[in-house]
Amino acid sequence: MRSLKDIIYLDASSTCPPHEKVIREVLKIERNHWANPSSLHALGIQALDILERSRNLIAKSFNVLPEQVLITSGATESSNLALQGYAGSLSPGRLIISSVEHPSIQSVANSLKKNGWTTQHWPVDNQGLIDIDLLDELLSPPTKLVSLIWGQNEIGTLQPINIIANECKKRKIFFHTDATQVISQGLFDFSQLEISALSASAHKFRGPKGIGFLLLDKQYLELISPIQGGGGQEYGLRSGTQSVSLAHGMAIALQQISFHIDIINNQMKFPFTKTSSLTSTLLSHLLNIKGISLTGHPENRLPNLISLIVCSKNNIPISGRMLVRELSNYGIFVSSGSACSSLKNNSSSVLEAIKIDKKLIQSGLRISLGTWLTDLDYDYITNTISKSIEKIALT
Amino acid sequence: MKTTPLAFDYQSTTPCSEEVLKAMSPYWTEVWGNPSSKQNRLGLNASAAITVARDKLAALLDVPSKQLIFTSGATEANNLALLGHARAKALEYGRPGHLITISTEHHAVIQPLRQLQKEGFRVTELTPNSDGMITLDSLKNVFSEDTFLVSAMVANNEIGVLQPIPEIASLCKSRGITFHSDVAQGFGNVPIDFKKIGIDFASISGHKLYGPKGIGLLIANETCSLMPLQWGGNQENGIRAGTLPVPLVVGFVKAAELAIEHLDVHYKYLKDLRDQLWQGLNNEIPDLIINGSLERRLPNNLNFTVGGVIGSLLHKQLRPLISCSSGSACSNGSPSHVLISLGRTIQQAEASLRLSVGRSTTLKDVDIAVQAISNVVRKLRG
Repeated sequence: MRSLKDIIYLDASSTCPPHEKVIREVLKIERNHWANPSSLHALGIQALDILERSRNLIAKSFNVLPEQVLITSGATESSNLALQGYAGSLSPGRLIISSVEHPSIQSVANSLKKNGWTTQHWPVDNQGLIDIDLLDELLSPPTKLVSLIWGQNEIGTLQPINIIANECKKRKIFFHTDATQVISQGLFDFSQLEISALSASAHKFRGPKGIGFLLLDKQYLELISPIQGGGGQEYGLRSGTQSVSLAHGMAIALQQISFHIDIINNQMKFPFTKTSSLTSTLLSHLLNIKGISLTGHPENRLPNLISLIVCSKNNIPISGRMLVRELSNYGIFVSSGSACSSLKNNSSSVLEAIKIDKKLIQSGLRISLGTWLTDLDYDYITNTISKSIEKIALT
Repeated sequence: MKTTPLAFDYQSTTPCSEEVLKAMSPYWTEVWGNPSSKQNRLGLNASAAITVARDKLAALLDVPSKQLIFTSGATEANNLALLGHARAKALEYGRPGHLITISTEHHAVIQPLRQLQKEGFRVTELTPNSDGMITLDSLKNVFSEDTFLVSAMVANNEIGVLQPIPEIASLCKSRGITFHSDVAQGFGNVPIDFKKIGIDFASISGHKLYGPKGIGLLIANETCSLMPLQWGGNQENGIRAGTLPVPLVVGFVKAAELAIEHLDVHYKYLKDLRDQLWQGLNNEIPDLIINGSLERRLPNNLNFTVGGVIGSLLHKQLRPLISCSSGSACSNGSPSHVLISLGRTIQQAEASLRLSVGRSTTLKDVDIAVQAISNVVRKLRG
């Protein structure tokens, strides 16, 4: 395996290289503080202390109380705990999800059907934004749960979650957001948003795999029922011995994020960072290639994610998968869609939802950047992509 | 690493062995791709690492690879097996049925079963004999026509007793009943022939094996239906969604490999230490009451009640000297439901010690522990 220096890794949305400091700290805890944090003896109490310090750091990052932070095995578990856990305490009703959710949310929604819940999709426009005109209709009874992806993982579109959260709060509807792709772009004041629950995974912000968190609004702490029972860890909401080293690694990874997403006059402002600047410059270079067009929203989008539809200069649709493979021969690592759905088939339900022409549905390309990149050779990347497209067009 | 107080609590958790840390290392620094992302070499390498680890583990356990479902730990594995199988069965039959377990099971088995009760299932909790063992007859007596699952742990986490698992498994098999076993404490400490015994579901935890925390395994017979606990991507054949933590999977498999490879050596080493500990304590304090069968027991576990002392004082005075527990770490200080099941009073349960030795415990540690405990007991008894 070549090191990060020898490759151009542009697939942050799939996973990120753990930060060096994270790796060092995880290892340090594994060696020195390996006791079970539920044990009552001195070694256990030391481990618990590190666990709770980590929880405090996470809480501070989002301006919440430590008891609002539940540590889970990752965003999939967090989303399941939020949606199944809250649905379990209610009589069945309607769940609203967008038509561009991550497969995990889609799948949880399906699982709730057997308990009598119905699901309705909130349609999006061709830039991936939910149709705000449907707000009153979709947030009317029998809606009891809403889950929207904050930053879309394939096309980068940011939903106006602050607006939807406010509207849900007014109507006493539980609002969950999948913020997996957003955390790496900046920390934020959770208490300022009226979100009921928020899910994230550490490995998407350069933390370890196998750990994530769920932030909960105080008023829902008592209303979530656990999906796995046992020793009653995590305030009784998530049993199982916590991994102190991974929780600590996750907190350290958050600590490396020094920029903030601001909410001013109900508008979300994502910070300008080295990564966002590299991304926008790369995008302007790529859009010079004839046949390439941007998908998703042009402004309201994850600042580190470029999503494209790729055709040759003669307008022949190019297979995203073939292009990804070809680029990896040149040390450029990108993807054609979500990692979690890459096994199922070639088509993307997200591209279908934004009404991309059927002929182009397999021509998606996703390029996503992170803080391990300090500089980019734009000409090399642009020329390699351009050459690869024409090579594939000829086959 | 040696620390003061002396660690005598290796059943609550174990440190990662050096070999495990070494095995995980490249998967933190180099092979950190997403194993579900098979589009580029980083993802393919991560995915290949999972496949190699899974196949190796399958060979070690002598079960097919497709029966191995990685989870976040034994708690999740237990919940997945019990809730997942029961809910799938209920959907199949159109009604909930009956499950049987032992009252001395870990909370990670008891709690999901209580959840199933809320969902309309009937659960029988068998009380064991005073030595912690159940008999086949007592099990036979509680079968009913809609019994579809029995859950019995190989080795108890508090009193270390080894249930007659092969016999329970074959009894279940003859009646077409699914058999689940929490093997978190047994695996790596006593030989378990999964193939021969025919356990339908078995839960294992990484951190009890000198492997990492945050990873576990459910061995699942693919003919037993299973509904996922957490839904999402297609990982683990759609049974357990979520990106697999590659370093933890590799570390888990390494830990399992070492445990199986050196089982005989570890068994003898731990049992010798434990026996010395018990003998030493008996020489000093002749009236200790052993909890659970001494013969049918894990090699590393000791659990006894000290008469004539107040439990809270006993633990308080021992705390600076020895790290041990009065029960499961997961019960967080409440009196042990296991000891109560054996007929101990609350006061007796509180005045009980669970001591567990580990690979780095030495004979000298045992001597120090014997002296420390007997001094404290003598002092408390006046």
